[in-house]
Amino acid sequence: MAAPATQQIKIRCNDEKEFTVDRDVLERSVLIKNMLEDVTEQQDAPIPLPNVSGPVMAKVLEYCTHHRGEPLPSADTEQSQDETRKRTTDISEWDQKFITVDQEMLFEIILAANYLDIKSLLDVGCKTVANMIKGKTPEEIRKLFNIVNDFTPEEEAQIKKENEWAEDR
Amino acid sequence: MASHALSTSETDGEGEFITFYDPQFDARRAIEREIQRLEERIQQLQVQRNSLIPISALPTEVLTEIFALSRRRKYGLGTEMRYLLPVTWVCHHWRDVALSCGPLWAHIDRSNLGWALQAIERSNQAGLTAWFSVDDEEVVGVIEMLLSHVQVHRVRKIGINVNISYPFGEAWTKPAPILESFYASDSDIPIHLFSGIAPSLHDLGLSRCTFTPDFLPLSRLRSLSLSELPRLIPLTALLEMISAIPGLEVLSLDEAFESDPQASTPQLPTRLFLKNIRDLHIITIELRPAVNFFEKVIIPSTAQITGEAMANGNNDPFVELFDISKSLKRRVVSMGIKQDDKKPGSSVVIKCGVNLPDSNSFNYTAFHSLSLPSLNDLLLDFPLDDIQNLTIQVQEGETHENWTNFVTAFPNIRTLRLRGGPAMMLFIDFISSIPPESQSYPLPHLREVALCDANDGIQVFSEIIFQRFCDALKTRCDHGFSLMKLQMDKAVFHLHDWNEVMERIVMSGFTGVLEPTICERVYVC
Repeated sequence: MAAPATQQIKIRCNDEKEFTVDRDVLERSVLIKNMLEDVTEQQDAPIPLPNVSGPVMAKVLEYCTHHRGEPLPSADTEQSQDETRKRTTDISEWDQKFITVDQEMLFEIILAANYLDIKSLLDVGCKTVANMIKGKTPEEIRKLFNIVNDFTPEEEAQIKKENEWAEDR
Repeated sequence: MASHALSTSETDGEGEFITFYDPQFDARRAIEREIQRLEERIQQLQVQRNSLIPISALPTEVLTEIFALSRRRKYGLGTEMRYLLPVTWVCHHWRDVALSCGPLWAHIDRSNLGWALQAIERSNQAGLTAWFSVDDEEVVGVIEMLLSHVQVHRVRKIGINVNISYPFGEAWTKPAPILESFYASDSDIPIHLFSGIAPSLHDLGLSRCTFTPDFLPLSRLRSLSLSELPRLIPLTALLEMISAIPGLEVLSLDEAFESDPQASTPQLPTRLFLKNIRDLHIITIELRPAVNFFEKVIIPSTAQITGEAMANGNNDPFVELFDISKSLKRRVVSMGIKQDDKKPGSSVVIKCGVNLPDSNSFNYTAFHSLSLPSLNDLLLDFPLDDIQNLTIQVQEGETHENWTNFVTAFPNIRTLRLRGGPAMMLFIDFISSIPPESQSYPLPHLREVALCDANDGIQVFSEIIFQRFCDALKTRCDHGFSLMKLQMDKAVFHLHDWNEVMERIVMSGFTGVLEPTICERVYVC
């Protein structure tokens, strides 16, 4: 007997782009999982996702498809990881390749992961940005993210002072 | 009409002021005010501009998480607070986000010892985490200063690695209501530590420390790690200590306990059920204490177990390992011999559980040898293909079918050592069951067979049986069964003399080397 076909779910992004995706892939998103659980009857209307654009959703789905079937991280796991100090900023090889995108897309993915509540993807995004920051000077960070120095001279002087107590001791 | 301000100037040395009229003053002031206004406007625009770049779209909580991650060391575990400072100097928004999150700063490590007080101020009453390596008096001073400033009641996690003499002073005797983790090394833990009051303590690690278990706040622990204790804890005392920790999930005992002295044999009434254990790691100097430990505890089948011990030269380490696995009554992922470059000899390594990560801390060699007390004890989930040397105690009542099924599960055996009374008959039956002209033998790599204690001096093989064995062997050898060595130890044959044994086998056409090497009890009838 053939295995029962996986339920297909339709979603619609804010640019009207629609995707039809296996339910287990979409359920990597806690937001969508909860929505699907709340809906008792099968609906043909696509689930609207007003905060995500089509190209970003395509990337998110690529991630979810690759990680389908993996156990979802629970709050307990997160806590115990933190408690045992085992939480590093290491990213797996596939995830690293996946997240090698331009900055705009990187932040869009993080925002989408945050909105859709996909903890592991949010984690990959945050780790990527953290690794970009780590060990850089403020000026290098500004340059990296196209930030301008918006401190007043007085604030700069204060910061310089901080610099002294942090570095001279 | 424009007002003309008076400008003031100081004379040289007389302390007398003169006032004169400056017609450009107002104009200059107006320009300065305009510059200031424009500067403020530029700054506003810069802030506004910064708010429009892609990274500023991230919500505050995500940015905070990124900052927290950026504190992590580049390699390995732990935190480097110095990585956090630059983010507060980037722009207003980042600074506001970083400084408004107290827990981000509530961490003291070697990279911010010099500005620990500032970090504590920024932590805004959040529970502190501190990891100290006490290498010199300066660090001792910082610890004392911190403890006097925040007191131990604000400490959530603390680790103290002592490399010089460091007495735990008065500051450590205060209750620690929010303390969750405490690690210490090379210290004498005083009995009045935290006045015994640390109701949130769930993670305790003591390395090379002396301590009195009765005075430690253990009852809420979820993780306990004891290593390289200067005074090993007798097993019974250890079990009593553990029995008082009902929620224990992670237990690591590295050279921490010893078997009970033989003179005093205190016994726990029943085996201790470590019902919540999910991760157990045991290293003992000798194997016996580990065997004793496993005999006295019951561990849930879901727990991960790793262990290591020096093989005791007087005992067969595989038999002892099997004692452990029998006591565990559960599947063992692997057992092996660890070759340690730093220490002479070898250690025994045991791993149980699922999805165990590979350890890089030692050279784990594939497990090629296995010793089993009976056929029924194959609880082991070894990679059977790796096993080349199999030793097995054959029990009374084993059937030929069971035995054949069992032994053929090890397709790469080169050496088979059989102990016990029925061994000879089972092996004869095994040989005889192979079709004489078979082209594929069940154990194609078998080259050596040793039959040890084959009948323990009780059962006597008749000449007929032995003849059957020799004939069976000869027939199979003629057809490619390439046994190279047959060793019989303490076997008793109802034969006229030992020479006849040799002659019979040779006569049977056995072309390998016949080595009745340890013929201690050859009976000549």
